[in-house]
Parts: sequence; structure tokens; C-alpha cells
Amino acid sequence: MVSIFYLIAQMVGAGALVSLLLGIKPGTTFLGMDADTAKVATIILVGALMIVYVVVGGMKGTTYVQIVKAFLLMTGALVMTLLVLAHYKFNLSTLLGDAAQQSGKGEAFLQPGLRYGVETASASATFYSKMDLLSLGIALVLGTAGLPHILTRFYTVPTARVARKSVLWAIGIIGVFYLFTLALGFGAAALVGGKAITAQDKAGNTAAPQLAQALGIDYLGGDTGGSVLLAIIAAVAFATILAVVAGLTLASSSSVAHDFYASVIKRGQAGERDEVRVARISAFVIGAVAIVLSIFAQSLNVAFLVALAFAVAASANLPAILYSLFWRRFNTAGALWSIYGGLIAAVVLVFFSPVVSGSATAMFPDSDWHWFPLSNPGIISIPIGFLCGWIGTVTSKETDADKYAELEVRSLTGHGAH
Amino acid sequence: MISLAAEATTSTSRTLTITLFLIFVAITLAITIWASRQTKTATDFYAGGRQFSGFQNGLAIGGDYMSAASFLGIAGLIALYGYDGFLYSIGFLVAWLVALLLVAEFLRNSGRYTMADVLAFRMRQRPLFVPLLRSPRLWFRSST
Amino acid sequence: MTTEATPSEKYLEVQRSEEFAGLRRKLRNFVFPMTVAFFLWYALYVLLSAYARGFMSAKIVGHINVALLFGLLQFVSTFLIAWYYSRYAAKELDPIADKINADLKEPRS
Repeated sequence: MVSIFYLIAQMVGAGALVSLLLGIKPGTTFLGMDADTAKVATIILVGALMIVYVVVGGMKGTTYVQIVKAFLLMTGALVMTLLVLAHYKFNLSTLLGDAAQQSGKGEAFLQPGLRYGVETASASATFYSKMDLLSLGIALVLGTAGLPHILTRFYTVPTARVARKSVLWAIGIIGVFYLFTLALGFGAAALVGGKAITAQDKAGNTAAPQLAQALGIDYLGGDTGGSVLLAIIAAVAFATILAVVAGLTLASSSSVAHDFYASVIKRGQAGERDEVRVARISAFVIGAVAIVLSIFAQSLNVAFLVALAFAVAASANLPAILYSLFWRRFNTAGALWSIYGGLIAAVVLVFFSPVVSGSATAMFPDSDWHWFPLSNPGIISIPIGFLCGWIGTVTSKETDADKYAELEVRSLTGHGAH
Repeated sequence: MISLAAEATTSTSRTLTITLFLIFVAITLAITIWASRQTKTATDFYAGGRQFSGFQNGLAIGGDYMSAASFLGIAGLIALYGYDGFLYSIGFLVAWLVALLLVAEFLRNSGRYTMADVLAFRMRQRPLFVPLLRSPRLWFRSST
Repeated sequence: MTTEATPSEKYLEVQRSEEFAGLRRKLRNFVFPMTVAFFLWYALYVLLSAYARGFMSAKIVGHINVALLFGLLQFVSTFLIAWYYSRYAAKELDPIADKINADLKEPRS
């Protein structure tokens, strides 16, 4: 579930991107396809490529691809950030001021409250909006450590110490990157403008490439300059999407092959070649399913879809992991309860939320069956996940001190890690 | 303010983008095929042979994380809604402390390829599987 | 004279040992409070963003307001905590873990 939300988010991003960078406006055509068909075609193409990456390269391949892309992305974002700052003579305050002014919302643009926790005349709407903000905040923080495709990357290093180092590096890189996006976001608001952005993509997914274009026009000279920078950044963005979806597909297919096939169907007796073959097949199937689903999910902002994935990861996976690692009493029933409880809670609440029906940006905008008022279920589903895990554990008489001893000793000392 | 030309792109830009992207695909496909020659065991397929360094893996993790949602989505949110977009990125970053302090090392020490390996540690050896798609499965497993 | 313990007895023994207890304590005494701390700090930030708009909108320099500063402080605190953990782990936790690991590899005598 988790990986699928994330996967769809990435592919939707690809679709949104193509019509900007190929200049396909509604009503015009490219290679005989109109804007919408081109988006679908992109999703299919990206999907097909990612399947190839995973099936052929496995983790080694996808990791190297990820490294190359990370390097390109950081460089591209750095260059754009420097250009934006240079435009404002490295004065952050003027950048912000210009952004606020261009947005048409004045100072409110620089303050929390335009999108989350929106204050309106209706007290209950305000209340829910703020709750939504809290819910989102919690889901984001707790979700990362529960994302399967991230967790699986802790295993690609020789030891736990190296895993620690890699997380430290990741924190540094990611932190710097988000500082870049801060500048880029406000830069886009100032130099491109909200109207131009929503004209191209109502959810705002094309702001960064559009900014690239604007910077190119300004710094590299005229329209050609704009086109060049736009092309580079757009290509990097496509590369980004491709690398990430490959990683997601790999994580999913690994899970099917290793956790399901090898453990359950073959009861731990699967030959290695067999298991790898199954992993490759499931990569293909998962990729195909994701392509289809993505085609239906195109109007949602990408960051938002990802936040949903996080909520599910935080509600279902994280409680199980933390309890497994740190709680002596935890047992089978607890694990089942926490995963099911968290997963069902999150999915049900999302299904009955304004995200799926009952609002203009919903998946089914013309129907309305929602009763859950928040768009992110985290604030409810995460506690439910933890609670279910607790209930499941204490109501079952099963304990296994031996197993826990082994797990705890091994996880703290690294003994027996292979 | 920079005024944006009315037409978003020209055909030179399209060609350039597609070309650049195809170059990237070509290079990465080459890397992938090279990697596939070295992918023989399950450890290779699932865990890249466990040969990546801290820096390499850090970049890869960062790469996995700095996805379309980060780059396009957050930049877009900030561009349209200002500050609230920034809030998103803070959540995304602080989240890593959870992984660092509570999860990463312990997982690596106690599992082999996936999160479910760790869960299976705590569970009894009975067939209890859940036909959930692409989510952590709870499988019994004969212990290592 | 060496005694062979079965694997699970071996682990139980280690788990009960003073050394391991010390390791576990050092780890938990750092990690749990730190987690609570950064979580509360982050929660404070989110709550203020939701409910204390007036405070957050106050300007500090030019267009830079409290909200932005607060947000940037979250970045700083994250980096600091990560760095501090790496130092603490290397100094206090790793030596003990390594020793236990080494001991486990020898048959106990």
C-alpha cells in the first residue's frame, strides 16, 4: 500500500511534467497526441523503463542510478538557487518580499495558514483545518521510518555502523536540498507568479521547471536561454522520477518475493535463483498495476499523495517495527493487530475523506460519501496503530523471551548480522 | 519581475529535453546492465551485495527521498501557498531523526533484506499470512 | 574448561549480563529522551504554526518573520542532534557493543 501511493505520486509527477516541457497546451498536439494522451503516454513510458531497471539491475543497478540522479539533482537545484539568490543580490528578505507581493496575498504569503489550518468564518471548518495541519505534521515525521523502500536501503551496507553513517550523510544532503527548495519555491512565486503556474498545472507541480525557464531567459539570454535551462531541469526531474519509481518497485517486488513467496509459499526453502526470478516477475506486475492506477490519479498534487503514503507507513509499519525492536512483551498477535489496525484505519479514513470524494480536487469530484473531515488520517490512524499493537499483545498469552533476547542482543551489538 | 514569454517552449527546447533525458536513460541503462552481470545471488538482488559505502548509500537514500514530491511538489506548494509549503519540508527532514535514532542500525543488525525479516523474528512459527499487496507482510518464518 | 551453550541460552546470558545492561541503558537513556525532545520541539513548531499566527507573523528583519526563523531552527536542531548522536554513539556505545560482539564470538570459558 505504502509503496503504491508513493509510486503513483511519482508517476503523476511525470505526467504533469511532460506537457510543460513539451509545450503541449490544451488544444495543441505533439506527435499526434493531445495533452492528456501525452501525459498517459509518459506515464506508460516511465513505467516501462522502471520495470526494466528493476528486473535487469536489481538493487545494485537502482542504487547506482539513484546516486547519479542525486548528484544531478543537487547540482541542478544548487545552480537554480544561486541564480535566484543572485537575482535578489543574495538578500533573502527582498526575495521574500517580492514573492509576497507577486502572490497577490501580501504578507500572508509568508505566514502559515494559506493552505493548512486555514482560518475561515466557520469555526468548525477552521478547527478541522488546523487538525489537518497537525495530522499532516505527525504523519510526515513518523512516516519516513516506516517506508519500505527507505528501510530496505539500510541493508545495502556491510554493517550497522555504515548504515548509521549513511543516514547521517542523507540527513545532510536532504537538509541542504530542502533549503534549496525553499529558495526555489519563493523564487518561483516571485519570478513566475502563481497565475502562470496554475495555468500550466493546477496543483503547482511545474513551478520548478517554469522557474528554470524564467531564470534561463534572464541569465542565459532570451528565449533560447530559457529553453535550455528548462530542458536541463526538466530532464533532471524526469530522471528523478524514474530513479525513485525504480526503487519503489524494487522494494515492493522484494517484499513479494522474499516475504511472501520464499517464506510462505516455499516455507523458507526457495532456491535463490527461484526467489530472484519471482522478484523480477512481481516487479513487472507491480509496475503494470501502478501504471494503470496512476492514469486515474492525475489531478492530485504530488506532495499530497506522498503525505498519504506517509500516514499509512506511520500507522501500520512504524508501530510494528518499534514494538518489535524495543518491547519485550511484543508478540505475534500484537504484530498482526498493529499492522492491520493501522493500515485499515488509515485506508478507511482516507477513503471516507475529502480526498476521495466530496471536494473539487477529489478523485471522484462528482460524488460525495465522505464523513471524515481531515485529508490526512495520521492524527487518528497512528495512535490507532500503536494502540492496536498494544491491545493485541497484552490480550495474547504468547511471550517469547528467548527470541527477544536474541533480537535485542543482535540489534544492539551487531552480532550475527549477515 | 522577469516577464515570461507567452509561449512556454519552442521545438528546440523539446528536442533538447528529450535528448538530455534519453542520454540519461542510455547511461543509466548501461549502468543497470553492467550491474546485472554482477547480480547473481539474492543478496545481490535485494541488497546490492551490501557493498555500498556510507557516502554512496547516503546519496542513494537522499536520492530516493528527493523525489518528484520534494522537488516539484514542495517547490510548487511554496510557490502557490508560500509558507505552508515550507512546513512540509520541515516535516520531511525532522522525520529522519526517527530513522537515525530508533530504526536504521537496529534494522540492519537484525534483518536481512526487508522490514518483515525483523517482524518475523518476534512471531511464532505458524502460517499466518496476509494477502495484502505490497505492504509489510507478516509471515511466519523458520528462524535463521 | 569451556561449556557449550545453545544459541538462545547464549543470547539470554548476554542479555542478563552487566555489560549488556549497561549498553542498553546508555542507548535508551540517550535515544528515548532525545526522541521525545525533538518530537516535542517539532510539535511546538507545528502547533504554533496552527494556533499562534500572530506570534509567528511577527517580523524580525525585513520580510523575515518568526515563522521562517523557527522553521530554519528546526533544520539547525536536526543537524545538531544527528551530529551529537554520532559522537555519542562512537564514544559511548560502539566500544561496548564491539566488546560484547567479540566476546560472543569466542566460546565462553
